[in-house]
Amino acid sequence: MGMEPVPVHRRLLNGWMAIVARFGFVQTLVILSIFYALLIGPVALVGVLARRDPLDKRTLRGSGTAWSKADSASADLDRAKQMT
Amino acid sequence: MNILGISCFYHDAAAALLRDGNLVAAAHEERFTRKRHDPDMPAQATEYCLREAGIDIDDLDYVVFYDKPFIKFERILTTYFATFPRSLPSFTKAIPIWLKEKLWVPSEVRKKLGYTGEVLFTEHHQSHAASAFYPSPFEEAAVLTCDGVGEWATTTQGIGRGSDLELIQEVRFPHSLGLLYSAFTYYLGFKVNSAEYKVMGAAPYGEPKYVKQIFDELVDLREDGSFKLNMRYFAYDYGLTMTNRRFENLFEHPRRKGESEMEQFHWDMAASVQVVTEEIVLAMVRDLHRRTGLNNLCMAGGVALNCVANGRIVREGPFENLWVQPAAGDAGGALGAALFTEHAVLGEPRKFQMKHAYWGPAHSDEAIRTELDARGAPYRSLPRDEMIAEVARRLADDQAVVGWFQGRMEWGPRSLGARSILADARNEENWKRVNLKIKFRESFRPFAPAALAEKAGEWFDIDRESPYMLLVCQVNEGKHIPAVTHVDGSARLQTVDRDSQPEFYDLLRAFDERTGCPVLINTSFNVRGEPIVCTPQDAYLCFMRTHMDVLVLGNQVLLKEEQPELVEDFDWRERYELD
Repeated sequence: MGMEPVPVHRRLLNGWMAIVARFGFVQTLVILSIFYALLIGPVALVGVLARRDPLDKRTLRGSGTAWSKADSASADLDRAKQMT
Repeated sequence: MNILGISCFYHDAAAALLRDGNLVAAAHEERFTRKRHDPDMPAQATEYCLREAGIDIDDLDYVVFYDKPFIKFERILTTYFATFPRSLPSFTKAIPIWLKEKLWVPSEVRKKLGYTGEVLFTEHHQSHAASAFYPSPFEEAAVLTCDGVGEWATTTQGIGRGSDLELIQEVRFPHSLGLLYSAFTYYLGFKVNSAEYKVMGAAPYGEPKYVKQIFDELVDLREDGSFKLNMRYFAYDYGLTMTNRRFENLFEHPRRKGESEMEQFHWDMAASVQVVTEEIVLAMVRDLHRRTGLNNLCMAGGVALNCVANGRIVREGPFENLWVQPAAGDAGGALGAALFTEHAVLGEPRKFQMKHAYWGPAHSDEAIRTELDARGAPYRSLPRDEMIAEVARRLADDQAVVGWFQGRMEWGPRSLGARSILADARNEENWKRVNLKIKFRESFRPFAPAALAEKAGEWFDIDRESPYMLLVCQVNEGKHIPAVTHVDGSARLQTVDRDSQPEFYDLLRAFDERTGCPVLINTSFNVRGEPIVCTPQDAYLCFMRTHMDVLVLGNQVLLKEEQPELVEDFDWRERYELD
């Protein structure tokens, strides 16, 4: 079974959609980068100045335990309804 | 009461349905969509579960999602704060998906499943722990969960007693045994969250030369089994890769390019990370035994699929009994979320014990014949016993490779005799033949044996059942089954009993009577990159696209030489991304 040729107007539309998609991608990238700099940046800077280590990456070699008490949600229905 | 558990949005989406505390159906979304590790909302798996139970979506009392999205999002934001500005590429890639989908689970459930009731949430490792403990045969057990990461926890220890399940302690992100293994998977050129088992399969070809270096530089293993990773060598907390340049410099080799030749260095690295993983798991298990004093251990999370480590837990103790649920990875979180809600949240007593892994869809002989007739595919419908005898004869005498499709589909990543490719394990040639001409996968990868449960002890160094192919043991001396014996003499064994898979059991018995060998090669019914077949149509297409000799669909036997040529207007190889 042979393939139907794609009409010219369809090819033009497909080309245009590809260009728009590329624009959309770049636009999203730019907006997200600005958000990253303006929202994440200042908080990160405060963390650096306060020498915070939220991921506990600095104390590698230690003699104590690396276990933490489990921070599990209690098993009741109200708690189960929450996404936190 | 009907409770549907779902897991999705990361990898291996799945759904599991409980009715009054008993499992009715469970399935991976990928089997229906034919997209390997499909992460999307499990709409088709849900539809199947409801169909199996004979209910509508409105008959569900709860839908339970297997983790807490807001806590996970908090962890991701915290990670971006801590790794600014290096995390920009990860931020721009991940945030749109979070804003579009992952933060709106209730509305996604409504939109994609058509469900209008209450959506509940369990924590990721609660789901894993519940999937491990509640279906186990134990009234009381210690529980170890270990995977890449959930919300914050990457590893947890807990205790299950009756309907109660409590997590005691945890190791938190970014310190993760699952991510350590995935980092090496990435470094060795394999696909993360997909091909970790290839690293495990590659390990026996190498020498664990780098264990000391890994413990000296990358991992700080403490006496109580807890551990930390030296994040200077990893990039997964901030980037789009798992390891960084410092990691490559440490081992003086660049990351292996996918599909390139494996060199001795790569085998040795695989062997090393496997040994490191086993040592950490054993240390955690010993610590858990010290804390709980219990004799039973249940495990879940992706690391629990490491059957070499599981084999060492069984051999080296200190727990007397180990139970690992067949879908121990994230898919199993769907089952765990439903079970946790049923027992821990709603306080219902336990009544379900998982005795087999066949929780997926089945197809009647009539439906199979209708499908084959519509295709014009020649077949013979045989009485059951004749079918068994015929297949055993072809496996033994003709050395046929057989596609075997029987009953309900497996739950979990392994084919266990419902959707399997079978061949004679005594013939070494079958190893290469099935790897290269049927599965189209890497030649180094071993095949697993399926054996009659009551004869497994004669052929393998094992003193218990292994129905879900989650234990590795040694092949006994003098037993010649080269097609399923790895280079170190080990095998990833499935024991088969008659109650859980009567057709497969009877086939093994018939093969044993004919040959004196109760063992067959049992590999998943798919080609590389393809999900395991689900329907007779999937099975027929896979049969026709490969060099399989015989296809058995229920009691229907099809021979390749009798089939008309399969005409397709596309190259099926391009449909499946290599794993």
